[in-house]
Amino acid sequence: MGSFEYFQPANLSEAMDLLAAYGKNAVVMAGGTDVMVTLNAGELSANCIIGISEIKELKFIKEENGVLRIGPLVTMAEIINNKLIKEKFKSLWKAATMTAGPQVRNLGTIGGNLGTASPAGDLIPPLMVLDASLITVSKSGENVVKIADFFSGPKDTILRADSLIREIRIPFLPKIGASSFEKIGKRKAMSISVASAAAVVTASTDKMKFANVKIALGSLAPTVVRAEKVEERLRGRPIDQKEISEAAEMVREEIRPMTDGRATAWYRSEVSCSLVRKALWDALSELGAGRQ
Amino acid sequence: MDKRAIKFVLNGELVEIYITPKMNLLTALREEIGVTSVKRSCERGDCGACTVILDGKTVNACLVLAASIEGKTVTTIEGLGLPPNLHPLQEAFASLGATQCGFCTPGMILSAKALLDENLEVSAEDVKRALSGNLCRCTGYAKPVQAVLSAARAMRESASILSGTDVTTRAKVPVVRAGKATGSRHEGGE
Amino acid sequence: MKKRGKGVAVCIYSQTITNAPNPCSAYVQVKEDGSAVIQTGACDLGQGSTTVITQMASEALGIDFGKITVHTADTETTPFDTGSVSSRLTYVAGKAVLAAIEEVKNVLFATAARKLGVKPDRLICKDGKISYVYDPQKYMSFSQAAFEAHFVDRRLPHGKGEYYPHNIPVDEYGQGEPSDTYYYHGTVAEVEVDTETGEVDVLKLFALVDCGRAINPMMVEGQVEGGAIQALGWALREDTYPYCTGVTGASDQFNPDFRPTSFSDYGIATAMDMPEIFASNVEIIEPEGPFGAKAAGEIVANTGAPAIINAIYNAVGVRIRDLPATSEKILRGLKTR
Repeated sequence: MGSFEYFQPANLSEAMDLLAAYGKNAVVMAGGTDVMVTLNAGELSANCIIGISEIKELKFIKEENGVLRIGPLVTMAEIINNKLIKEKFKSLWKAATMTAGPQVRNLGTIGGNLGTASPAGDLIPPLMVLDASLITVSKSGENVVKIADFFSGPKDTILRADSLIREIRIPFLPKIGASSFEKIGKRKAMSISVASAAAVVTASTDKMKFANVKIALGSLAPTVVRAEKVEERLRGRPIDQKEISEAAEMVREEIRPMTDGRATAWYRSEVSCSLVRKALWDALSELGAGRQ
Repeated sequence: MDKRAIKFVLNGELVEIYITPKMNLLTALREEIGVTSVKRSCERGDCGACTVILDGKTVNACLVLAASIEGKTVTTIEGLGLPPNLHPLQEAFASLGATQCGFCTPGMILSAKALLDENLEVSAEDVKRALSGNLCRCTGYAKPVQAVLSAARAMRESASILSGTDVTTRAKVPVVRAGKATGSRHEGGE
Repeated sequence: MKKRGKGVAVCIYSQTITNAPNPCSAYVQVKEDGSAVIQTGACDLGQGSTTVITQMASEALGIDFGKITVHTADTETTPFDTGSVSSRLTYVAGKAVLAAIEEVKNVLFATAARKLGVKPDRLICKDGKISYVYDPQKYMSFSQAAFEAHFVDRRLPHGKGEYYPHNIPVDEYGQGEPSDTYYYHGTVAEVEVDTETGEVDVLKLFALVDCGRAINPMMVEGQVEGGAIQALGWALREDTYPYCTGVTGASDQFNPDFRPTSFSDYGIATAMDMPEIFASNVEIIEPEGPFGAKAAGEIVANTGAPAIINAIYNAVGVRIRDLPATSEKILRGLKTR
């Protein structure tokens, strides 16, 4: 059986050594909001927890050469309190404000949200539409992964047992660009998403047409997915109600919602169009483009 | 399972306890130190009954591994005040009927404390948001929100009279209502 | 599109256990210094029974709140109470305590009557004094009366009281008295329904209880507020596995994602879900009640849900017939209209 161990590496290098040694039987814990639930229920199969929450080099928010660089240990609360993220990466900011409650937001991290990879993880759709990339690291070196390539299934990522996410990088949006996030849940706080949508919209200089559109959907498929048909449909089109409504209807073809304890597949499909429309109009109003 | 010692600051005092690697902070506080004001309820971070303030931030004690708090600072409700020296929040909750069965109360007051530590100019919306991680069945949140607003007002008034001094335990909470109920309207404002 | 609607519901409710004997009892001792100790099995879970018992004793004995100690719910030492159920304690424990206090007053009034040279049935307890009803200047202090009862008149001012609610079962003609009295509650709800998603936002709840005399108005208000939010959760969100009617709309369909329900799914309202609430009470004095009181217990959760359901119907014409009225059920209703 082997006894249970808890390690708390003080820096990244120690963490790498521990992961190399214990990786397969260990679980990495950042804020603990997922791991501790499993542990408390007596359901943790790993016999080792590597707690990375004290690794200071993994907690940072900085701007460099048109790119936002975030450490994986940045908490939801820290995202919410960051002025730059609120102004320039509204989608990520809004998703953080709508996740769980204050106590969980003080613990839960962006790296954890990615690592747990729940299709209902609220930070994931924003990171998708913001074209984030992740830097993963292990003893053997670093890798850059585009967020679209990071998830391999529900609660499954390409992250190897000996690796950690070291950094999340998000390019700044062009000037005529804005992002948004909408979700449907059971109540106004402490609510796991039934369906969610994040959007990035960039407009033409005269703000009359869509230049580019990106839409990512949460809790509507086994992993977070991009609504590529809707995006294609809107590129270059005039910004008006008819275009948006017609395009939003197409989202039903791009999702594979399931029936679970929170909602049926039917409901998720029905509300997906409304969500996409809301997310688009929210981003547009940030831009000051179009009129609903 | 091997027990090992950890040291941390609890309510201003250095304590040393023996914990096992799988023990969460909730269990450590309740069973190793006897601080039963931190309540065991869902053990999933869903209800807030185990809320404590850890290094200045509210967290669910059930989601924190006891082994990870070496050298850190923990505050429970006892750290705010014990009778007769109550914190304005405690006074407000008691005198305004914001506590019924009391199970959620310690956690709720700690959430409110963390809010007021950052900002005394809070609106009802700010308070509701700060309390949104503390579930309560008895009160419907109406009087707790009112109590936090009342305490904030008392602390603002004390602070302006005696700025520079720690007045938190001396602020007097205004009693909002006496005698017959005329109904209360809990709206966006106070 | 968002549509608003209003709905109302009222109810009548019995109190005390209606089909079984459910007494409460109390012992009251006035000490030689004029303080009082009450022992009763009545258990305060936070609903405030100890507070109202103290208030009633303070009023009946005319002594300060701070001079009264209440010991409750110790099965070894306190006299019997059936339980904190059926909204019974204010009424049943109240009557038991007041009955015990009558015995205490008999002793104290005998002492005061001797001292003041008046008839004992012309005396009242008020403001820490036992005074002659026709001349308030003719009085003896309560604590002095207590002392003299002990050591001059040689009678201890102790009393015991009990109360059994009537429980007269209803006969084949519908006549009886299962409950001593009935109390009432009503709610008006205003909601806003999103016709694209079926989501319901409760904007306002106006809730009122007729509790007879409100012994503690602040606590009655707290009860009404708590019940309103409980009703909101019940109406719109709360659902347990495995049947999860809220999802499929069918109460006998086994949920495919069975797992025990946790607080993250059960969905009781959070502080951010609290709408604008106006909670209060009216007082239709119950002659048999202790100081005219009835109850403000379970009833407070009763009418919020039907009021919300009626408001949803008023807003979008969808009639929900089993709870919770989830957004899914409402959306289905909207699509099939």
